Amino acid sequence: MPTTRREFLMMTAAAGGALSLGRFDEASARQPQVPKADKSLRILILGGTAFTGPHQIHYALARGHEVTIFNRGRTEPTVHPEVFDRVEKLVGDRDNDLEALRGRQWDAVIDNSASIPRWVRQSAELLMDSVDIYLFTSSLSVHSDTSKPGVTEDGPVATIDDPTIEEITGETYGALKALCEEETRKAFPNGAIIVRPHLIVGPGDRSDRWTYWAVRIARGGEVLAPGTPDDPTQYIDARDLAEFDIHLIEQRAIGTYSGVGPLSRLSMAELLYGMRAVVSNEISFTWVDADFLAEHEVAPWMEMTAWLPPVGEYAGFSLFDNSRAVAAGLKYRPLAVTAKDTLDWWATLPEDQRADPRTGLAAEKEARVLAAWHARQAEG
Amino acid sequence: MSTTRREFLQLSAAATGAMCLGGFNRALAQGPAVRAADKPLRILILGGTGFIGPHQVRHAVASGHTVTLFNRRRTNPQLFPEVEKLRGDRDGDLEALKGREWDAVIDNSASIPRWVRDSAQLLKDAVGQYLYISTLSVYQGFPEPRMDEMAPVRTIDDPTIEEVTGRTYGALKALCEREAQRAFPGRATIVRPGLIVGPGDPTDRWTYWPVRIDRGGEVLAPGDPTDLVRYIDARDLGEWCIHMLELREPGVYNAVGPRSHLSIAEMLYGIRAITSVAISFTWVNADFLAEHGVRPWSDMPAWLPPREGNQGYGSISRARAIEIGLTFRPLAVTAADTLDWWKSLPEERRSQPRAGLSAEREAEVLAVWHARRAES
Repeated sequence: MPTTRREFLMMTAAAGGALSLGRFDEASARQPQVPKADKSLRILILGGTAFTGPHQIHYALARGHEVTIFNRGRTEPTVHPEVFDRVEKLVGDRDNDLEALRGRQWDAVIDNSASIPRWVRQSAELLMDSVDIYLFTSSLSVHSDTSKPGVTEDGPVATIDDPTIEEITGETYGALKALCEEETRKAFPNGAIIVRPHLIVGPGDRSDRWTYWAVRIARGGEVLAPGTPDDPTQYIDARDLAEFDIHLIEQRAIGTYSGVGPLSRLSMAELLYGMRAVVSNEISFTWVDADFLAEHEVAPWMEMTAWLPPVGEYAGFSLFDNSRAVAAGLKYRPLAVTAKDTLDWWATLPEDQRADPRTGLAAEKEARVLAAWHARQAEG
Repeated sequence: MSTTRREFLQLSAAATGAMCLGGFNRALAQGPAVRAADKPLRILILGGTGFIGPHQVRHAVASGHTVTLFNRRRTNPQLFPEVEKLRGDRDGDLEALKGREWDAVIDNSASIPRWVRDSAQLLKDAVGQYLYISTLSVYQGFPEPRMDEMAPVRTIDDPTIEEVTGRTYGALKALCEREAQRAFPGRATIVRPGLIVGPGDPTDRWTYWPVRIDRGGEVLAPGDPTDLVRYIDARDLGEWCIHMLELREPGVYNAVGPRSHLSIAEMLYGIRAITSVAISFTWVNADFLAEHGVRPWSDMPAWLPPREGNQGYGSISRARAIEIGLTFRPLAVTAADTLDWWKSLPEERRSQPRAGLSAEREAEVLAVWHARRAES
């Protein structure tokens, strides 16, 4: 590989320069040339400081849009804190104080923060004459039947007997999100964009779910891997989701989309071995079957994150069809980039937060289950 | 060892390169910050402009050492204008080396014992350490798991044979090692790399996988997903060679990675992680591949079925080299950089890969495989 002295010096300079940058300057340095959109839009984001919001803002600004955020002013973003100096901030409360939104106009609103239909109704009705597009971030949990692979946007959604219920539980969440979608479509019959993400992952994820795997694999040693290597899994990088949201608004692509990746079927082995590829440590994977995990009370999804045994009502849970979203412009970062960026973001969090992750299998329990598994294998 | 910041820069830059976001990132990928050595060395490199040589030169120069290259000036003569170059020929013209002194010599370019004997004998009083790049092919085979450097090496009836073939290569390299050790007793470092891979690889073997996977679609994957493979990034090898000179460390070392055992599934799925294409892998067993003339290694690079004396192929011990400082770039970095480099080559070079299964043959074999499965 020919390298001239000048190239050599440039490389060294570039590496040296990049080394002195802050962590998330690196992330932005990796997208050095986001082209400006043809037309600058005024975008209102309800929420905006949690997980997907900062990525939406970052990308919207890079595209040359103007951003206003509306929230209680309580959540401190852990990614892209710098973009908040470049947005207009309106303070209020989804639940009962929308005053700050009155008498204003936007091209589009992104509603990231509603799980209760009343919240969507209030804001959508207030904004219906002053905003062109209402993008509601829903969830694939709206689907009532995930027992078969290839579920599309047209699959049936969950319903609820009493639509005034506002308590969010595993039972009500999907149906309430489906009602939120309905409120959006009712107020914006010609301007509703519904995006239904799968597991949202990446820098800024406060659930620690997918993050568990990246962090666990970076720690090395014997890793408990769930089910069979071929079990499917799905997720979406928050940045891919955010960029897709902005893209749909720019295109005025009215409709409902499953926001799920990657592009083609991904097995648990492909996920975990893909994460292994970003580190170079001492590591091995031990695959433990679903029955044994159930017997030893290892919980799918919460402890073995991003994994549900693909049987029964969940047989299609990790095999949602993404073709409509892909046709509409959803793009995917490589898994290695999502994994590495997630690890790097994790390393910026305070020690006490990292010591007490919200999901994933505790190291002691993992060791115990592995020991029991090996004992069982030895018995034959 | 968790991934360091430096690796992150390389990875993200490289991965972005793979996403076609521009050359700035590629430059980043190849410019790790290098710590200056405590004591600058004068290093002579025999060869130095092929595949692994340039990585040694770059790392040595970046570490503050002074490098002299000795070669015929035929391969990439434009490389390293700032480095001293001596012209000569391993085969009969070593004049330019006479009367000079170096702290260490790296011999990258000898497969014939006479070549090593000539240069080692000439340099034994003028050079402190002789680092010879040998090969894992010196071993008689890999019948056992976790074999170390004590495993028996190949022999040859007539040690004067100079024709390098698949049959003679390993034995001749073993004889080369002996020549280096004879001339430099206690001062010879014998490095036995496995499959050397990465940007600049002229063989297109390991390169086949990143290129194939980046193309997407249905990928034929060989053998059992748990079959072990091994390789070493040429940059990891190059940096470690210089490290061994800095330590003045003699001995014999298997130089192969990664750090812990890697299955062919871990390798292929790891390479998948640097792309975002639509892709699926179809695992076809070793018997079926043999039956259909798909060759391990040259058609399915980095893979040997774990049988017939190769049961320990992928688990050969690398502990000794790791203990003395061999480190490994993450697989994603090696794969992304290799892909990036490949894409920078001229179209005609890329249209004639030197190893790997052609797209047509792969499709044929997959079709037969699926037909066979449908029958049963």
